[in-house]
Amino acid sequence: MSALDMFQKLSIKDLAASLDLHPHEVVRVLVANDAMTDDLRFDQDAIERVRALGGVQTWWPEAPPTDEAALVAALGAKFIAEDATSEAKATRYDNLTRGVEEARHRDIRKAAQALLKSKHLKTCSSATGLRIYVTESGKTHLSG
Amino acid sequence: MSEATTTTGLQEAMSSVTSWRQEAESRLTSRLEAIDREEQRLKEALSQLQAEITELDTLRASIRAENGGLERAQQEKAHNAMLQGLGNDRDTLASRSVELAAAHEASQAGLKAELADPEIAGLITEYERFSEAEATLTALPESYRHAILAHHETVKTRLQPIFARVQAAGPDLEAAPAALSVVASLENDEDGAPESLTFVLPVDSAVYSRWSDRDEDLPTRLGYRAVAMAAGLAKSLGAPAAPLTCRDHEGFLTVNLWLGDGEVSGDIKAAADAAAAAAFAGADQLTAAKLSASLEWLAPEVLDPPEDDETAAAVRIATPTAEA
Repeated sequence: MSALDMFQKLSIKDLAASLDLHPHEVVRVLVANDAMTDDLRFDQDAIERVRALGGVQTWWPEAPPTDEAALVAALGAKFIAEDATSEAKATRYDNLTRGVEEARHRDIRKAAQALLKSKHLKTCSSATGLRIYVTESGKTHLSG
Repeated sequence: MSEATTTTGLQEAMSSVTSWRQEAESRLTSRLEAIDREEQRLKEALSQLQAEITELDTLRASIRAENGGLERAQQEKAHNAMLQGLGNDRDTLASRSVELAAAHEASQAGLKAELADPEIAGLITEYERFSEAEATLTALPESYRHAILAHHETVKTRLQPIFARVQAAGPDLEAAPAALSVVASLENDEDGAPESLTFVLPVDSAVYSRWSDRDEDLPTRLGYRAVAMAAGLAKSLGAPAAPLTCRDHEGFLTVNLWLGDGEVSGDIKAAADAAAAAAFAGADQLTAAKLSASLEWLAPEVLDPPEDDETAAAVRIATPTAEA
């Protein structure tokens, strides 16, 4: 980092890259919380602020299972573990793939689609983007 | 001596009657023939007129069909005009973006030279080291701590003008003011309720799809402003959770707000115009580039003209255009 960079404020792209979030999602989180700035520049603490305000999480500290059935089960278990168990507690849809290598995103989305199709998961829209949660039937099915 | 034929007075009288009859019949026959000729002439003229009327009927039907297709043809022409206009604005935005980046780079070059000055560089090194060691200060005796903090304040004061210049916006361009259009379109459902609000920006859709590969240039920032404007608008209409999506539309970035899932309150177009005015007027880099932006409302059919059909095709054939 050059001395010039050190004193620069953060851009939306910087925030997005730090949070593994699309810049337009960063904008939505900022608008929803009346935190947009006129110059689109932000202090360092904005990263953690956006993370908290947007409910940005990293669900997979380790690589998710490669086996399809195991991935569906692991994904369902994540919803229970993270308490994304109602519309009010719904998690960001992009939390499902955050931190996972791009090549595996399709597998995770496919697993989520399987759970959505069986109505164990449900999506909802929010001011900070698309969210997803486990349904009552999903709780029973995935906890068992 | 031959016997002379003689006619009686009566016979002569009767003969003259016969002659009168023959002459009268001859006159009447001539008149009837004249009437027949006139009738025939009129019938032929009538037949000709009937043929002309049939021709007019055919022409009328053709013109009516053409008139019915005019709306479709107009939508297609308006769609092409929209793409042309957005393309021109995209070029303007892109060139101003390059100029602005160059101006900013030039202003930062002077700053870089200042930062390389040994005295300033030394102060920056001190500043960085203080940041690293700040947490350990509590372990020091108070007098030492106070002395270090006081020195740090001096360093900060010396560097403050540098910080301010680093964080300052770049210089404004010396350029003629130019205006950009952002296309807006409101689509209603079958009952007339607002369903979908779309904004098409004079910006390449790659600012959305390939954001990580690109600089955060003026078009990118206009994209942020549009998303912020749409999200803020959703809030002001009482639908903060309205689904908001970005996608490509013939190369341009679109921001769509889905309003069909719930009740929205207020005049959507007026609210959108106000939101756009606030969002674009507050955009410091647009201002620096001497650009302004506003919404241009177009019908949904102009954004997405209906699929071609025979009528539209016929109209295109019937009305040759400059591009033909």
